[in-house]
Amino acid sequence: MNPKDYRRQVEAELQSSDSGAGLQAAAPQQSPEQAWEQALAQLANPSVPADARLAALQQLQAGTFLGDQFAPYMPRYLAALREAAVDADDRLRHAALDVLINFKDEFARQRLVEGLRTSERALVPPAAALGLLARDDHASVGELARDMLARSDDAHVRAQAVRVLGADPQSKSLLSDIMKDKGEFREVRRASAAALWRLDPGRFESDATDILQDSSDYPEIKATISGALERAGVSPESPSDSTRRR
Amino acid sequence: MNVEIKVDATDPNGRTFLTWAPVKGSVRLTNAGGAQGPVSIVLRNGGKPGGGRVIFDTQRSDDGKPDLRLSLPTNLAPVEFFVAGEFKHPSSDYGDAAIEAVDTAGTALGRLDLMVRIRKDATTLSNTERDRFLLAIGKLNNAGQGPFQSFRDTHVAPSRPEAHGFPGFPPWHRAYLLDLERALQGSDFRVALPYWRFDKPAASLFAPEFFGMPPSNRANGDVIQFPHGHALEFWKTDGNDPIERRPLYNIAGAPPQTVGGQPRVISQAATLALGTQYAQFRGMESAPHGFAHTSFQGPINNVPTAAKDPLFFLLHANVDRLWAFWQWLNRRTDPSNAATYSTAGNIRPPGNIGHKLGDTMWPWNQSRTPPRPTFPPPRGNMTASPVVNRPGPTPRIQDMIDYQGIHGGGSLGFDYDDVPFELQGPVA
Repeated sequence: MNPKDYRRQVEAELQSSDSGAGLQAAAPQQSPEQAWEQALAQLANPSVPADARLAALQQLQAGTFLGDQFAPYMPRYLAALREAAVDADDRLRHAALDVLINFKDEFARQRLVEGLRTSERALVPPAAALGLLARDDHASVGELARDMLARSDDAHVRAQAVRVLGADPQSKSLLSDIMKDKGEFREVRRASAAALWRLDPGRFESDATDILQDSSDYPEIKATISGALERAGVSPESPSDSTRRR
Repeated sequence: MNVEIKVDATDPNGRTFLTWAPVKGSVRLTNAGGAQGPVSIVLRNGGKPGGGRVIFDTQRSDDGKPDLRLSLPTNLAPVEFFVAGEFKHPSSDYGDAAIEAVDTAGTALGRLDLMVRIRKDATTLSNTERDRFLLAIGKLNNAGQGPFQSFRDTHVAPSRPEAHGFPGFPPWHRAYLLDLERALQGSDFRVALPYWRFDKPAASLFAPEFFGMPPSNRANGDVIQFPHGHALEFWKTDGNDPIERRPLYNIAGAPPQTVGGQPRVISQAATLALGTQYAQFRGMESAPHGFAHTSFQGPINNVPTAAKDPLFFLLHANVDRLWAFWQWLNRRTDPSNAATYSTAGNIRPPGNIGHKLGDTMWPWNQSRTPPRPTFPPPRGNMTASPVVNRPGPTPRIQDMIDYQGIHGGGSLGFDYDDVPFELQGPVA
């Protein structure tokens, strides 16, 4: 298509959308600062409906992308997030904890750890708590993760616990056992394969060979392992060849 | 009688890649076959049906045609021409486009296979294109042991003032995407970075076989569940972190354009209507850009962690496409025009460093001098392209603006599927 013709077409389309609702959005009714003030007030007010508070959280979090312009609002935003993290609404709690953990917030980390130790103190279910803690704090929750693995039969909790242990060099044997355990949930085996690949690639390749040569193992697990080896440039057919890694 | 066709945008392996921007080519007889005078030939599309298409001209123009008649001397000297991808006709694979030379009777005299390599809407990719991209970025990550970590380490808190909240936001991210795309092309030369058109429904992008979804119950965590064998199945950053992301909107549609009357992930039309001056347009850093990030829970909603998620790069490819579209629509490609680029507004102390037209950009400039980040730059110089020679190892802000080389100097080697090449006046 000729660019001049395309220009006429685009300009006509834009003109026809001038009266549409979309363009109204281009002209904010408030300055960013006014919008942030309003959002802070909403987020911090438990009597405001949760949907509106979640929208306020999104408004404020988007403000953080503007850096210095938003910086004066950060202390109040953090305080409001910590309040929201213990709110009665589970969506708001989860959203606030998600942001706080991304900020490496110690209050959120402590509350999540407490919740794993004492279920009455839990702000989110165990799998979600382990997932959030695993983003930035693998080492200090390793013991908790091993404990959860020992006592939970929930596939999601087990998978998240395995993921945490992927940063724990002491857990290589445990992860190897889980990866090879045909009685384990497939999602958990997959998580253990990913964790072991990170911790000990040599052991992963050795275990992978066993699994690929086991005619009774599941094709999904074999697909997982073959895919990992292929992307790493390792030939699944000759995994004992020491020159195979590219 | 045979002819030889050469095109400038050819890598050392003899592979030719075109965008919408014209590049110089030449054609010559390799044997005259007994001809007594100049031989008349026609250059035309020789690609596969439905593949990429090319257009020709005798000069650098935005008005190329599908056929070009040339007269070749019998002394075997080359004759120059210009060739470009035909807008709206990108390739989906290498060799699905070609330049074919025929004589006046239509007899083939020579051909050059090539690719019209264009960044596309992710929802329009064929399964093959999608899987090719996923495999390339999966290899770049290599379960956390690959070069992707250096890209992730580039978009962090200390580099925020270089990349966010100031005028350099669009050009810095354009360079960042280009560096990543070239790294991907090092793995698979057919890959162009796709974009997430965040103001449109894009359910196929979040399908299990593409970028996936977390467990439906948030109680089970936000780790993306990929099918077994998926290229991103072992994705890791920062040592051990897989991809976590939970949409805060119904992915059958697009994120909301407004909430309570305030702009959120506004439409393309609304973004273009922000204004015709750069200082106005760069307001898009807040809406739609910021709100596209916060349409999700997970690392993507936070500057220092956002690049852990590969969706980041598709989101920003769309931000860059919007800038490119705005540039084309308003003819804003001349860096010396204050309407094209301006440091008016927020000032980064001291002296807006990293945001003025002539400033080099971190990390590619390898600076460790404040106000740049003082830790070792995670990336080296800008990844070189085997096809084009811009922007050089230490790109400046101004090098990112005229990405198609409209004002001369050649292109950066990428284009978007809905932003054409259109000249704006005399060519330098």
